[in-house]
Amino acid sequence: MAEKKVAKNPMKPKKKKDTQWTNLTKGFIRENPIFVFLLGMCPALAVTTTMETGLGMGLLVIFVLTSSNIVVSLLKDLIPKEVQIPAYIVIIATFVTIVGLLTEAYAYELHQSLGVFIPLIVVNCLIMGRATSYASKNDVKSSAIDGFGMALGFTGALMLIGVTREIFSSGAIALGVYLPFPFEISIINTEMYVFNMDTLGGPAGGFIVIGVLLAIFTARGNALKRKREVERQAWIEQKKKEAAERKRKKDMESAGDAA
Amino acid sequence: MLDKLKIALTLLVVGAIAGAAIVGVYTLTEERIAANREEAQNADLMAIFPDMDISKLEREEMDLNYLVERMTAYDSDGNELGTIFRGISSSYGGDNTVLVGVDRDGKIVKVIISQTSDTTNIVRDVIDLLDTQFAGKNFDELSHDAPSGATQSYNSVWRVVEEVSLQIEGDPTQEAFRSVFEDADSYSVVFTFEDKAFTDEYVIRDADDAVLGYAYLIEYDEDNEVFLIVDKDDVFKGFVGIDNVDSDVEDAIVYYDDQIDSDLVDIMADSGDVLEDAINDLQPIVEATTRIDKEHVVRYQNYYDDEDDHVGYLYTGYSSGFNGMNVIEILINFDGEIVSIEVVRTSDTPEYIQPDVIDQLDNLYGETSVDGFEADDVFAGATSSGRSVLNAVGAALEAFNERDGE
Repeated sequence: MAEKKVAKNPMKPKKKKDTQWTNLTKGFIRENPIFVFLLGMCPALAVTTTMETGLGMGLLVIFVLTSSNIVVSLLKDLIPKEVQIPAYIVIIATFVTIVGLLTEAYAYELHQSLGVFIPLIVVNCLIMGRATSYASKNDVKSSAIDGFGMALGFTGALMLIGVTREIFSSGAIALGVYLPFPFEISIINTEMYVFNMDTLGGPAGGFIVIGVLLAIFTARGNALKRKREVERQAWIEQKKKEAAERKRKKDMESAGDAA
Repeated sequence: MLDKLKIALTLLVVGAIAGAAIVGVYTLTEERIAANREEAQNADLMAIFPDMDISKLEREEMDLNYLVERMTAYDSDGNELGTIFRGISSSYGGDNTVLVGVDRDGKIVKVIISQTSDTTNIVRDVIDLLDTQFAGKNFDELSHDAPSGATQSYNSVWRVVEEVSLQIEGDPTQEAFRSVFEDADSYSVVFTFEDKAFTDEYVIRDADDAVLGYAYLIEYDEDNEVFLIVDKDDVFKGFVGIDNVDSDVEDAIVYYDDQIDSDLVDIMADSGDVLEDAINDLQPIVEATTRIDKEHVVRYQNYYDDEDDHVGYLYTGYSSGFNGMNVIEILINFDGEIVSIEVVRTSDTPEYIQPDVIDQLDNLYGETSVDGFEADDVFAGATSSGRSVLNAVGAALEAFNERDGE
């Protein structure tokens, strides 16, 4: 007799095999700062005219978010609750200033390109959000991984927006223009006029592209929800059938015994 | 108390550590940042004259509308290569810094946007055009051709190039003003009129920024532009043609030469129909002079208080009173309110205008409009003089509101 495939219980919590891995990857898609929590939208709109500027901003945020999460976690028991927010702002602003100085020293083109958006990292909701909601309540290792993972998700989102805008506005993806790569190349060059949509490179383009990508992410989330609901209904139906089958068997056995 | 002390101490320690960390990183990166900044500046300059010896560059500050620096470039043997102008001009994202290199023959070598606040992709559209539109060309060969979608960025470059052109080719307007005022050093448009024979009013200043006089641009036709010039006391200094002046206009200029050094107000009072009959072909010029009487022409200038703070605009209005022209100064603050009114020149009867008009002017202070005021009520006893003041004040407020609306 062939083994019958039994549906998994969709309501049963999944076993977390590696919580730190989950901690690291949650920001990639499931809790993506931009596409799910809509945090850090200002740089997402302003510095994603090209993939490389998006990547550059992402790298800076990785440094600031990971560092500030580590320091906030280290000092969480020493800072009185009344002054947590101002203390966190000072910590974050320090790392932003440091990253600004380092960028101007070692990635001058990127510094010129990102301009005012480097100091504005201080007021990026993502960084303050992770400091208050996670780093101030967890150990240093988890906080560092959380910050790194969330910043990676943020970077990925900026790059996705940047790629979309750049390829549709210029037909090419350039590398080495702003970041200190040892080369300057155009990794994709479509040479197709259909891609020459200048609007997407401008401010309005930022809203359009983010809107479209948000719609895709939301649609994907809704599809997953629907799929889970279908699975849940199927599981319930199967359980009902199994119960009915057990009851029928039990009744037959009772009838046999009686006979 | 102890808790508050702990809070203060915590913030102090956090702040001190943060400061120390920043100082440390700053010390480490200071030299490299300075080198990067200098390298970026030098790279732009070297892109214009690759043979230039940076150490021999001669710099001279400029204080024009857009140009801020003039640099003379030399090669390593000390031979002059040309001049680089640095200009700053605003665009939609902020200021753009533009470098314009000109060789010794007055030909443009290269135009570079060295710093920009505009969106990278949009500026790139302009940068792509710079070499084809400017490099290797004489200034008289240039034509304004902005790329679609990047007009403001392009215009910021164009304005700087235009000002460089005036430096290299000479400025015919400046020359025209210098033919009247030897010390003329700069000029700027202070007011633009609509529906009048003259369009722009210019203020002409000397090297110390003192006002020498005013010029009214009369666009006689497509090929003829003439300035009516008065000194700062409204003494008529003549007409100056700057561009392809034809013989008819020259005749008019000669005619008006007889009036030079007469008070403009007197010329207006005396001329009128006589001039109109005498020179039928030059209607725009006649109209320009007679309009000053008819339309209560106002000019304005920035007004600074004793502490050099810019507090408003001082308008000068002309309006006919009982005996002739009155000249009235109206100070208007940034909210459009009348701060003060002064009758600086009048031909009207002193026994009437002083008590019945001048002493009553403070009734108008603080007002933003004179629509509700009737000369019969406010200036009873010197109605004609009062109406002339009201007309000039009304024209000044109207001019302020037009300007504010821009």
